[in-house]
Amino acid sequence: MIFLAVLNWFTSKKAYLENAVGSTDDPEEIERRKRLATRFWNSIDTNDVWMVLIMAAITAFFCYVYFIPFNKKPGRHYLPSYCAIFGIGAILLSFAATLLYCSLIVNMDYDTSFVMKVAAINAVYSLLLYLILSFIFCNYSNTNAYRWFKL
Amino acid sequence: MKSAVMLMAAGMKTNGYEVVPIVIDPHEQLDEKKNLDLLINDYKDVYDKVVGNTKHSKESLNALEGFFCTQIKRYYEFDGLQNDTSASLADNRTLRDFLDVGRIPANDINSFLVQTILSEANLNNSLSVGFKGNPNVGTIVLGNLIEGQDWWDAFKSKYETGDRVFIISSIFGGTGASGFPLLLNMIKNCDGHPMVQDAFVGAVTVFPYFSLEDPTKSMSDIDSANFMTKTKAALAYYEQNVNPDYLYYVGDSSQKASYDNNESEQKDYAHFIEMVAATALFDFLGNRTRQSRPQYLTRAIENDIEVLDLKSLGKGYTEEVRLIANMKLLNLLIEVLKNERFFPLRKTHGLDSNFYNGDFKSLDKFMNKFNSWYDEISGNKRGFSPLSLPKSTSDDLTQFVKETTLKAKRDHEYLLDMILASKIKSNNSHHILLRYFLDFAYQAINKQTSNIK
Repeated sequence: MIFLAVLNWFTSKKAYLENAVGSTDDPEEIERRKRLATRFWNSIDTNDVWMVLIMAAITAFFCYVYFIPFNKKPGRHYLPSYCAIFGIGAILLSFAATLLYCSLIVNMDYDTSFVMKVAAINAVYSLLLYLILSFIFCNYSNTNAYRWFKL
Repeated sequence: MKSAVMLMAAGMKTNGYEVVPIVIDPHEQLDEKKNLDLLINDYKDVYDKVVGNTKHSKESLNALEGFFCTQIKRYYEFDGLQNDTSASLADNRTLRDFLDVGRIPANDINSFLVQTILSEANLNNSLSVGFKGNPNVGTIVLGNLIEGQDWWDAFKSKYETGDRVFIISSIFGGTGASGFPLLLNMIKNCDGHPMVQDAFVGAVTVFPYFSLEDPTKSMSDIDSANFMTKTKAALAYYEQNVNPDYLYYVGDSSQKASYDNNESEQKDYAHFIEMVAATALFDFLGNRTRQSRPQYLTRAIENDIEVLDLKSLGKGYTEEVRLIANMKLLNLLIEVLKNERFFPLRKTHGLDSNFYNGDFKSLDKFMNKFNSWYDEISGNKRGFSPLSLPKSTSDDLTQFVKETTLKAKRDHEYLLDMILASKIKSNNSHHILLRYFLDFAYQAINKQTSNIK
């Protein structure tokens, strides 16, 4: 739901299904294509909560590891480069995990670009969540990291 | 005294005593004396900021546990004054004028006495440049000069039971050699001040530990070839007449360092023997109680070698080495932290560029002097060089102290320990940034150096 709401910025379910039908005039083929597209869309749509949870878990894990255990070890881990590395790690892993998850619930070959869009949006969410969690860690945790977002 | 200030800055403890230094030298224009005065001011500046004793501070705190842990106070501060109002000890007259020799009849016994104990050169010397290695001159003059001084009056009126007096002097010069017995005598015979008369007095007297270039080349009146003779003569006198409660003798069997023979400048580099003499002060304040008879002490080193380190110094010097290592590690952290843009304490404790351009400058100024002092003392003969200073702040630090190994390999391990120290609640009960800095740095450094044995 969440992803598809975002995807609606680019396309709606109705437009997606129409696009999936293409230019054929064969009613059976139209029906078959609609059915495939609907099943594909719905599979993504009904599982998006899990994708968000996976993304959130990955991002929270990366954020926690960066701000707490990683910064308990010596090595100037408070430098912005490390914060960025962990953020990028969270984003990439969220992207990859979304792709993997999608591959388990749908046939990705059916519409690879759509799945990539979903994974990309999950990656963007990961970035936003990383920033939000960083704000929380900076203000309310016992981190040894540089507190970028400290009020 | 310079070494004593450096050791106090490094964290040498005085058993809770405030130190009130009084420098007695009629050679007012001597750079070394002026520099000592400035050094004490610099120390006080850092100390006052750390304890919140400034115009802008609303807090008043105890001294820190580590660096700058001892209060140095000027005698005039006891009367609420800001500056020394005492008249200069320097006297521009010659000794001849001072004694009014011209008015002594030629056949008077005093005239013969003067001719016997004082040379023409002695009589013609200006008193404002000191006594030029002539204790016979100092003995005559110094008592009169001291009697009129504000600090002497302040000392007599402020001295309380429980206070201690410690006199630092050399035995082979003029001012110190004559001033020590004279000052001790003035204290012990201070009529009308029974507490002063009963003062618990310690003293350290320094034997010759350097030589001067040939005086015939420099046209100087001081000949270091006479240092040992003067020492023996003074010791013969001290044996019967100079008996403080504790008397520390410090010297070097060989005079390894050689300086220019320039009376007016006396640019002598800091020396290991001076530091050993300074440690006598801390021993006296920290470890000694009054005994029924005068006690005489000295210190030895383990191996008689040119450049001393932890091993060759012996176990008795572990604390001095540790404290000086602490100070040099602090210096290293200062170098690192000035440029550490993302050090977390910038955000959490305000150790940002405003801090480094503000109160921190006092510390920086003192550290520059400490570094010069260490350079001098380590490069002198004999050298006191227990540290292996890295060429770069990013170098391996495990061998920072020679003959031992520290656990922390890199500077960032100290930085992390500073961050951890900043998390301890009891360290955060104030708002003095310089105190944060020194406190956290000390805890980080002490974690590494406390195991030095």
